[in-house]
Amino acid sequence: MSAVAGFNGRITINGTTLRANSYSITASADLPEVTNFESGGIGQYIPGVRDWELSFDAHWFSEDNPFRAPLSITNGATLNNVNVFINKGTAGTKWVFTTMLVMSVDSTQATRDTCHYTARLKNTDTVAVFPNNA
Amino acid sequence: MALYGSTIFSDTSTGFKSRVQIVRNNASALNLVSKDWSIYISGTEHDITYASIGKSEEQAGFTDTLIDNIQADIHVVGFYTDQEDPFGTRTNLKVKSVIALNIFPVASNKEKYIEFPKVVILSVNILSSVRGVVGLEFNARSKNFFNLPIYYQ
Repeated sequence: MSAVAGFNGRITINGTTLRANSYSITASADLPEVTNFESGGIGQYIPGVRDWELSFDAHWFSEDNPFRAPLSITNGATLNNVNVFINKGTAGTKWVFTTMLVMSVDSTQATRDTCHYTARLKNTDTVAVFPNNA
Repeated sequence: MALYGSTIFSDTSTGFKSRVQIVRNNASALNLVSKDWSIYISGTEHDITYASIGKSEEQAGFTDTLIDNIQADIHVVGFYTDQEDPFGTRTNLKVKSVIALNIFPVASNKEKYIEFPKVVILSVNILSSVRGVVGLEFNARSKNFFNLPIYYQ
């Protein structure tokens, strides 16, 4: 077992690689409360609907503006086949989100910084593959 | 109406200690998977105020009321579980069914419960939401007498 360096990550959207600096995936689940008189004073919950959210930070490049096609990362856009790699050198170590919706895009620019942006995407379809060692 | 107070319990009790129980013939009582209950006790009000003619000076000009037909309306909110069919013969939570209920403000206090030997199910509500749970609620009304030992003792 060995750790994986962060620079090996990658995000692709429908086959187009994104020049991302960092990403974060939040997998969450609703936990509807079912505490009842027979629970003995202890809160009880059951697993409900599962959600996945991807947020990433990326530089903005003039030659491949991510806000235009083919990436078209704009608020409300539908993005298909979003692949998030832990290690781009190993095919299996990735999440595959069939369809994601762009929740928000935050663009930032400062004198001593690059023009970069942060996007938040929400899964709305099958999560086909979880990270594994395949 | 305060169903229990400082004369019965030394301090306010927390709701999670409650229990709603269906009493069944030839079977053990069933503890319902429920989370809320309420009992509303009321009667029919009759105005028996009569003319002041002939009344004493103290009675004249005041309303007098007679209450009869005392009834208890019970509302229970719970969960639908697949462990036992709530509409099956053992539980029988169907509209028009007559069942027996025991409601314990504090389940560990086995002597102080509200006993309903006969209640008729008035309505049953099954509800679900995609990000919630499948719920089961019912309303019942007492038939004949019921016992409120926690109140009358």
